[in-house]
Amino acid sequence: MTGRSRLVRRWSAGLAGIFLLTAPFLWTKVHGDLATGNVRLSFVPSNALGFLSVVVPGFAIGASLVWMAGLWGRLGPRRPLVATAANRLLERPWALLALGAALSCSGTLMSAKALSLGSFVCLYMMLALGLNVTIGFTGLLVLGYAAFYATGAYAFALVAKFLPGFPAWAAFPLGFCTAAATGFLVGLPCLRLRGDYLAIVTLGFAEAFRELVRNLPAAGGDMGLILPDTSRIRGLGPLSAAQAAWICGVWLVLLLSVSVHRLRHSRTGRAWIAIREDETAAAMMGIPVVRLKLLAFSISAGVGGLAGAYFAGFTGFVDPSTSTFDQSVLVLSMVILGGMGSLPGVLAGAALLYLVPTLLRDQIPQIADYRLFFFGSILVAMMLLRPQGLLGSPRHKLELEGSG
Amino acid sequence: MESHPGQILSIIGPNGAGKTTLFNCLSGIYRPDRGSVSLDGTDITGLAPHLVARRGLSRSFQNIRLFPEMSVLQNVMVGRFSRTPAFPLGFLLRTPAWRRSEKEAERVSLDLLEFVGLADRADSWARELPYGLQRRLEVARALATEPAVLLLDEPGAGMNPSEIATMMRLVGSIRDRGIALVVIEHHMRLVMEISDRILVLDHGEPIAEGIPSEVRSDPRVIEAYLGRSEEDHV
Repeated sequence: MTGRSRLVRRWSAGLAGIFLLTAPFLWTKVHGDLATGNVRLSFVPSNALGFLSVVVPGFAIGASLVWMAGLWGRLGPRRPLVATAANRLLERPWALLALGAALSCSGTLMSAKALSLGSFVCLYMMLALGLNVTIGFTGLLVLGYAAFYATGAYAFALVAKFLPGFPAWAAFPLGFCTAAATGFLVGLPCLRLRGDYLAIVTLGFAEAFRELVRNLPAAGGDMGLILPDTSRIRGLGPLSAAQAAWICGVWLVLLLSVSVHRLRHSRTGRAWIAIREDETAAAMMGIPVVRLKLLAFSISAGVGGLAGAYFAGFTGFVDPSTSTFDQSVLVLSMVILGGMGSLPGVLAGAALLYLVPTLLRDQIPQIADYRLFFFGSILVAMMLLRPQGLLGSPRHKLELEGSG
Repeated sequence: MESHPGQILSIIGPNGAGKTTLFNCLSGIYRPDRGSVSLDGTDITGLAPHLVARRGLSRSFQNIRLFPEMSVLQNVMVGRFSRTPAFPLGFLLRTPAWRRSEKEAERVSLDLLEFVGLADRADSWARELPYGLQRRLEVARALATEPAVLLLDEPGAGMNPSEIATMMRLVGSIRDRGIALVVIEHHMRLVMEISDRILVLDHGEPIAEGIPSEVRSDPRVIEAYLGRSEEDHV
């Protein structure tokens, strides 16, 4: 019983804290000129109502999801039902081929809107998978993941611009290799150091990259670049471009999922987890820590670049907004929500954190203003209620509670 | 200080004497300011820990440092990293060669678990093991790196007499395999019974070295350490 009342207390404290902190910004409006000192505050009840109409159902949905996840966590002697099922699926290539085929065929039945949504879900799943390798498996914090996403996207866009006729399928290895090489170069100086330098360096790199492309006319500046039609993902036979993009996304996600799963269940994956758990002990057992951290980071960056190339391929457009802190935080939230280190978890996290805000935005246009608030509160709520994420393993939670 | 295959060198001394620091210098976690460490005639002073492990020196830790989010078997398999080949694409395609390597690593790890008496707990989570078994798992993990020299940092700490007896037998079996053992311990009975040689440290300095009977009767040692500890370890 104490466990539950402690949970209720933390939950209430967290909620109360969130409301208290955000209330001043949402309930009031500042008028006048701060420079002249002629300032007035007014209470704006319509803002408050709009906010509540978004937040209350949002929290209700979120809370029921988390509650359901808690219930799943109690099923089975050791692991959540969904996570175990997903892991078993990843072990069976034929089942995955069937799944891929089924999803591809359903592309013919999907509306243009659904195809677009689906393609974006695939995109974010790729990003979450990539980030999970560094954060989830190896335990290294990265705050500027968007930089590698943008590197891949821009690499493809620039090559497509200067080499007309560059085919879309070549984008993927290009995006992967460019971003992986960039990740390697960025990681080389920082991964030798103890502490979370990587987090800040990647953050700085993301911002630097954005400023770089904004100030280079060749890279499109603020307006970004539009890809020539020959380089975009085009329709094939009876399939439209949108359908081709969806099918491409599905197979990329499946391919990456299997690859990351196999990586996890190999000596490299074990070494990464060992580094996450106890770096010194891992080194003492013969694991070349710096080399493996570099490998994890390069692969992560490469997958981010692959996702970026896919993005450029199906939207046909890149601009500096791909490299913002916003994007980095979004992907980070997906990984945390889904469960750091859990492959099915991050896929679920990606789907949820893309679909829910996007669908809600269509229903309630004001929600776009509260996007960052949403992500912040989800992160806070997850840390309070379920630090291991939706599909993470419960043991992770026990450890975090003990040390907290 | 010298360590030979099939011999047990024990290091004793009051708390704060620098015993674990010595281990850290030997294993590459600290870089010593003076002096040198050599293994089989090769100088390994200041070499990074993973390179020291590859050369054949492994250890356990004073505060048990297992990998809590992995199973008992996986903990030991981590130790096999440096003794198994890399398969850059093999893991992805799950080639027969890769499968063989994984099976082999698993087999060796299970054998080691059998050796330390943990074979029946192979799939338990490392953090769920009772304290005494966790210490044994750490030994198994260190053995997985196929060391020529094994440093054990207080293998008997926090254990009751029957657990200590089991640990003594285990340490003896390791010695019988021809591994050179260096053991830090506070339990005098354990030390006196298993050691071939004892080194005594106090305030970072060696104050005595020799066979157990010599050390036990050395007045400097008695003054610095044994006198006090005989009351503690009755």
